[in-house]
Formats: sequence, structure tokens, C-alpha cells
Amino acid sequence: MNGYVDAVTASLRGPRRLRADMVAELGGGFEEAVAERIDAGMERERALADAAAEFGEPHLIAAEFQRELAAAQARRTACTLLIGLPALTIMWDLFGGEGDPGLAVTLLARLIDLATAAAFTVAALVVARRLERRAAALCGTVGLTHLVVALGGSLLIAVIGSHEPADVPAAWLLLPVASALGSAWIAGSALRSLRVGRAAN
Amino acid sequence: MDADGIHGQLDTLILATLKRGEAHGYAIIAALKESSGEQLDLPSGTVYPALRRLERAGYAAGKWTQASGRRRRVYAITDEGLAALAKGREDWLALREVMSAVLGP
Repeated sequence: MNGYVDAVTASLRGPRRLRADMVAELGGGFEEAVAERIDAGMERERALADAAAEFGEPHLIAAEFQRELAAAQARRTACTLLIGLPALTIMWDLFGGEGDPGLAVTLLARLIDLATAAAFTVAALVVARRLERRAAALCGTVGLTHLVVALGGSLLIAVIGSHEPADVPAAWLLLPVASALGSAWIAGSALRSLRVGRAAN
Repeated sequence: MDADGIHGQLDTLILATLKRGEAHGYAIIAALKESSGEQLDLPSGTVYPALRRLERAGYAAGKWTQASGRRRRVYAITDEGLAALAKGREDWLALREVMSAVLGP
């Protein structure tokens, strides 16, 4: 319609559908403001400028919309973590071997558990609305940190572990694929959360 | 009153408007202007993100409607919103008392 709505919405980052919804709502309201002025006898160009002045500085409106988008993205990533982390933990446990794993492997496994617990706790707090400040950036950070610790730790365990792998049914050989897909899902959501959170700050 | 003067009170003002009945963003802007006797010099665009904020908090429920060929997102106040409005009103009255006491007659 004019540059005003574009100026507000061009820099917005966040869940696509919500963003489109916000743009449609603001655009509709702006159209009404312009139409009202034209009906009152104002020329179109003047009506556009007058409506833009009444709606306020685009960067201020954009900043408030961006906060809402960041909150929505944080909630999405938190839900991804709440579903994905237990699933990944179960899958990785199924790869575990039998017998005494040794001190180094035990310590690495506990480190992974700690990263999982931290990410899960942050996600639960965000979903329960107990944590809202910088929630998107936080969810992204704990999600990615968890993946780095878990994947790095698992790699080290595989390298230094001397125990026999668990005897798993052949169908379970799909587990590495499922695990990789789950990790990619979490990584994608965490990266989006970091990006959206950065845009809101 | 300028935008800085009502900073932090916008959500309460919107909830008070919604208490009178469901409304879309531009109708809320018009109602705020009218009920303030045109004294509220508010950047109208801030009402739209504020409505999303209220919806996220559970204080308002929004839905898209179609009327006269125009698609609008209409909001209604929720029970939680009514409670938040009552709290907002209490807080404002308390603040007004404090300001009056400090500033004097």
C-alpha cells in the first residue's frame, strides 16, 4: 500500500505464519486509517503521510512486534527441546554398551546428562512462562550447547570406550538416522531462536 | 497526554476498552481517542503489538473475521484479562494517590 507497513515489517524475524498475520493486521488497520482520511476529503498522498504520522515511528512499532515474535519463537524452540531431548536421550542410551564403561566414559556421560537437564529445565520454564526475558536467545543457546556437548561427548565415548556395544535388534540400526534427524531438528530450531532473539535485542 | 505519560498503562487502557465489547485494532484506537476526549497522543501503531502481547498473556483472545469485504482481527477480553484490568486499575489508583501526596495540592 505504501512504504509505512513495509518499513515496519521489513526487518521482522520469526515464525512465518505469525509474522504474516501481524503484517496483515497492521496493514488492514493502516488501510482503514488512510480510507477514513480520504473519506473526510484528504488527498491520498496526504492521507498516507498523516496516517503514518499517527501510527508512529516504524522502528518503534517493529521493535514491539519483534518482541512478540521472539516470545513465540522461544516457545516453539522450548517445545522442540521438551520433545526432542528425551527422545534423543533414549536413543543415545540404546547405543550404550554393557559392562563397566570406565571413569572417563562415565564422566562424559554425566556431562551430557547435565547439559540435557539444563536445556530441559530452561525449556520447561519458558513453556510454563516462568522465564520470558531473553527467552529466545536462551533457548537457542542451551539447545545448541546441549547438541555440542552431547555429540562431542558421544564421539569421545565412542573413541575411548572399550566395552562391547549393546546387542540390539537389526531394526534398531535406524537409530543413528533417527538420532541425526532429531539433532538436526533441534539445531535448526535453536539457530532460528538465536537469530530471532538477536533481532529482538 | 503524550506517549511517555501513558507508558506502561497502554495494556490496561486497551483492556478497559475491550471490557465494553470485542473490537478490532483500529476500533480500539478510535475508542481510546474518544474516551480520552482526544487527549491521548498515542502512536496508534503500538496498539497492534500490544494486542498480541495481551493475547500471549491470555488477557485477550483474537480471531479473524470478515465483514463488509474487510478482514479484521477482533479481540475479546478473557477472565484473566478482567482480573488484570482490576489489578491495573488498583495499581493506577495507588500511584495516583502517591503522586498527589508528593506533589501536593
